[in-house]
Amino acid sequence: MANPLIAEHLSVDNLDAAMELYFERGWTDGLPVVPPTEMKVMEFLDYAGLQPDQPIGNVPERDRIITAEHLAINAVMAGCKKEYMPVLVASVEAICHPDFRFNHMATLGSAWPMLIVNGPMGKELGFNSGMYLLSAAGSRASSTVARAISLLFWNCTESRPDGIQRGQFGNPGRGHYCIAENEETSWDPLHMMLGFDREQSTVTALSTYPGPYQVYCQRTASPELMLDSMVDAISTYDFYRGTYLLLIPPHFAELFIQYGWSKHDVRQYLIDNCKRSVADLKRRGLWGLHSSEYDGFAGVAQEVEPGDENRYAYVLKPHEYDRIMFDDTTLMRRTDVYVVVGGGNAGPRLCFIAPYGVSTDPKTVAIRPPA
Amino acid sequence: MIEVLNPTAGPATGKIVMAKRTGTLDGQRIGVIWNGRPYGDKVINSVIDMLRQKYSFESVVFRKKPYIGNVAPVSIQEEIIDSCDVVITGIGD
Repeated sequence: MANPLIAEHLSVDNLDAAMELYFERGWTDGLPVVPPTEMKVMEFLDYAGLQPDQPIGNVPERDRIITAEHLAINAVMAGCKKEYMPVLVASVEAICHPDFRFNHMATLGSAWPMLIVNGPMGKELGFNSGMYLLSAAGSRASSTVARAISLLFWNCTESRPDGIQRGQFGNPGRGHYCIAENEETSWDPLHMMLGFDREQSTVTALSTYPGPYQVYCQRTASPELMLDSMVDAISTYDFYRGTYLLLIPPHFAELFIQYGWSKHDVRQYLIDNCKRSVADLKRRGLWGLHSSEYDGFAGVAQEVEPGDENRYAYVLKPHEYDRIMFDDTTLMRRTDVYVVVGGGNAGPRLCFIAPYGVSTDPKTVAIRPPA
Repeated sequence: MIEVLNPTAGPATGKIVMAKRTGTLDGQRIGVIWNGRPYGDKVINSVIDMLRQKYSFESVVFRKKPYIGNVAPVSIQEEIIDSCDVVITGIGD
C-alpha cells in the first residue's frame, strides 16, 4: 500500500467543475482530462508497487524530479488504465536517461519523443501496430500512454507553448507517437536487434522531428528499387545526422524477406546510399552550414569545383566530409536506422521519421513487471 | 464535493538565489562559459574587450559548453568555481 499522496488536494463541486478547473489552471493540453482523485491515483501506484515520492526521472535542465505520484496523476488524467503503469515508468526512464536526455524541449524544431513498445506487452496491452499506426486509431493503450507522457512534461517541466516550448510548428506526434512493433514476421523485432530477449518487453524512446514522411515505394522488381524512393527522400530531407526510424508495413516486410533481405540489409542499403554530391550541397548553400570548424562563408551558394559532382557526403555513415557537414555535438551522437515493422497490411508506401540528433540518442529500457 | 490533485512539479532544489556580488571587477579572475551557439564566442569576447577598457582583470578562463541545452559539465563547473571569482555566460541564439 502506497504512503499518503503529497500533491495539493483541491475541492470542487462535481466532475464538470473538476474538468473546468484543469482548463482554468492550464493543466491540460486543450482536451478534457479525467479528474485525478486520490483513490484512482492510489490504485495506479499500488498496481505498480510504487511509493508516491519515488523518483522516476530527473530533468536537470528544468531542475525537476518526476516522481511516481506525478506520473500516476498525469496518467489518470490522460485516461490510462493502471496496467499501463509499467510501460509509463519505462518510458519516463528512457526519456530521462542521460543517453536520451530530454534537453531539447525548447528547440524551434519541435522535437518530441516517439515511444516504441516491443515484446509481449505490446500485444497484451493493445498498443497499435497496424492500420492508422501514427494517429488516433482507437487503441486506448497507444493514445493514452502517448497523452500521459505529453501531459506529464506539460505539467512537470513546463513543456508547453506558454512555458519553455518554442517549436515553430509543433509536433503532431505529441500525444500520438506510441506504437508497438508488429512482431509476427520472421524478422527480429527492434528490441532483439538491440540485444534484448524476445520475451523481454521494452520501450524505446526516439526523439523525432515533426512529420512522418510516407514515401511511395511500390516498385517491387527488386529490394533496391523498393528502397530507392526512400533513399531519395532521406537524402533530400535536412541532411542531418541521427537515428532515423523506418516503418515497413508487414506486406512489404514479407517481400523483403522473400528477396532474402534481413533488417540489417535494409538498414545497410540506406546507410550506403543516402548521400548528396558535394556539388549539390555547395549549390544549395549547405556546404559547411552546420560545421563547428568550417571557416568559409556558409549559407550561400558556393563555387563548384572540378570533381565535386562525383564526390559525396553521406547522411548516415562517417565520411571524409563529416567535419565540414556537421557540428561537433552531432558527431558525438549515434547515427543509425531503426527498422520497425508496422502499419496497415496493404498499400504502396513506406514511412520514415527524421530524428532530432543534435544532442540525443535513442534509448531502450526494459519494462519491469509490477513489484 | 470531490477532491482532485494538482498534477504539477516544482523545482527540485528549491529557490535559486543570486550569486554574491564582488563589488568591482578590478583584480578579479573572470570565467566565461560560451553556450556554443554560432558567434556567441564573438559576442562574449566583445563584452570582455569592452570590460577590459574599464577594469584590470587578473585572468580570464574561456570555456565552451558541449551542447547548448545541457548544464555545463561538472568538470567545467568545478574548474570555474576553483579558478574564478566572476562568471560571464549567456543563453540564446
